[in-house]
Amino acid sequence: MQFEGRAVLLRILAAGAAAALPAMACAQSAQPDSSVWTLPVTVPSVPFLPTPSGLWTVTIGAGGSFQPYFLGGTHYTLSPIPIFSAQPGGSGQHQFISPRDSGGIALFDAGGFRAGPVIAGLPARKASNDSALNGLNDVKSTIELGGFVEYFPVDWFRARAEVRRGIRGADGVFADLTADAIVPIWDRLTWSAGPRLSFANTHATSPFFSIDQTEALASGLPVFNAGGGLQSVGVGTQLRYQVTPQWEVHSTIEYQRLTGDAAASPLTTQRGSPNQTSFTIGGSYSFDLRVR
Amino acid sequence: MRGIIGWRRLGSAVAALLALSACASMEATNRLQGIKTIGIISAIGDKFTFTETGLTGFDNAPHSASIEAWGIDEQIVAQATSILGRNFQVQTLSYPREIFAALEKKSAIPAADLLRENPLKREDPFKESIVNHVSPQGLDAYVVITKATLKFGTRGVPVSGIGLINHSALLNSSAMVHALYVIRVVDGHTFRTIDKKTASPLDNSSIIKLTGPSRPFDAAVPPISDPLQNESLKVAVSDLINRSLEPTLRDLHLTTP
Repeated sequence: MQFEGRAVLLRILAAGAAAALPAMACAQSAQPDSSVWTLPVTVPSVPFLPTPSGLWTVTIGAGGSFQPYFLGGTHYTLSPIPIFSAQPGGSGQHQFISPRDSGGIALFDAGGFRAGPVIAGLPARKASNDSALNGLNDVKSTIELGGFVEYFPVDWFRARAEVRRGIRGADGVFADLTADAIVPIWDRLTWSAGPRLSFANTHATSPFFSIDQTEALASGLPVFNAGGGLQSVGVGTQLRYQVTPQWEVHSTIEYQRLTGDAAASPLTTQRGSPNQTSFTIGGSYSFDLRVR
Repeated sequence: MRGIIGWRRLGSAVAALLALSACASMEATNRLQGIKTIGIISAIGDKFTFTETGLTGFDNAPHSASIEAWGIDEQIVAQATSILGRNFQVQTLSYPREIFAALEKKSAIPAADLLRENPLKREDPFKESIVNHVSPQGLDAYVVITKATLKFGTRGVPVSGIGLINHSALLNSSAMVHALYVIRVVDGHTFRTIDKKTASPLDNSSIIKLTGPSRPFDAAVPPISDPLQNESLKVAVSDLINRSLEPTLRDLHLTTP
């Protein structure tokens, strides 16, 4: 269900995009080069910091994610995913991002090693949204805070580990181990794929897969106490195609097979499935914006 | 009652933000006022770096070769003097290039780079270098041009200064020549960095993107040991600098369109 966590983050990014769009709407093409837009007003600067003037590359786009409503479920839902970023010229390039990555910042970056904090989130699970959850308690949304470390021995391979602590809905520890081979087919097309392992301790697993006495009476499912451990194994793949220097499209498929108590829970065995697949597709447009 | 207090707090916050914004705007316009005499330092033209990305072997460390004979720094100083001479009195400086070329080292901890040039710190490496190694002293401002380091490719390989990136894919390969630099305007009396800008890409028309001055390079990659033998490389680098220098100085508000 990591995609849903990213969906929450992307909604936050969308709010940023919404704030930036009015400014972009005011932009005018004042340069001889019509591909560069210019903000018509002088943007204020902050003492002791470089001024924000200069060339910024802005990326806007949208996508959709098609995945089960809850981990272990079989009813798929479609969620919109906004795409927005703005980076100043000379700030470096976007590096490889797997669909399983949480949002993070590399505070350490040298020799192919990167490490830093991450944030992710899981939306609330409400029984009213899926009949398979009838009789079960709602689970509040979860904010996950933690850290990541990743290593690129070469440009075309990455191994990454994340450990996150959930707050609110699932008050436990989540961990993901992933690896990706990143193959540039040609300069416009990049394909990546690799295995995934997800772990969760009892406090992180139980809210989603345990069934207490009250829930058992209300739902007709047997009582079940879910413990922690290896929660799923899977594979994922991603395809990115640069249609033009400005337009890019991408799609991902992630499959995970629930294991341990997540797979053994009556919610999964009687009303769901241990096979979980999610699909995303999206496109984005980049343009240059000159700030005076 | 709680609602009224909330709205008051919101109003206070908006007022504080407006005041801060007004101060910040004044700061932006005041930064360069009073500058009449300027000196230019350039330290990016000492070496040419070859970087391999994409489908590479495990031994893919960048290789460098000297290009001092190209006279890139002299070209930059001459061009910047011509541009800045419209608005300022530009004076020729004497400085050891290698000291300034060594200043643009990236830390393994990105946040440390922000703190490195903290104006509240006593030991600013640019201040020390200008005070101790540049003559004449006493100009109103020093324009210091040094190598910029950007991340490129899926793993963010650092590429710096002048060089060529060879990107290998399964079905083809492509090359891109780059001239990456950062310009600082340093106050000649307090030696505080007034502003700095990294040179931006020249356009958005390349499939493989580097967020600094760069362009595709179609010629066969020359032998690593001797880029001096490839005249087209020198022409490409000179072209990148010619086209990017004035826009970057304009972004620093040192010249007008």
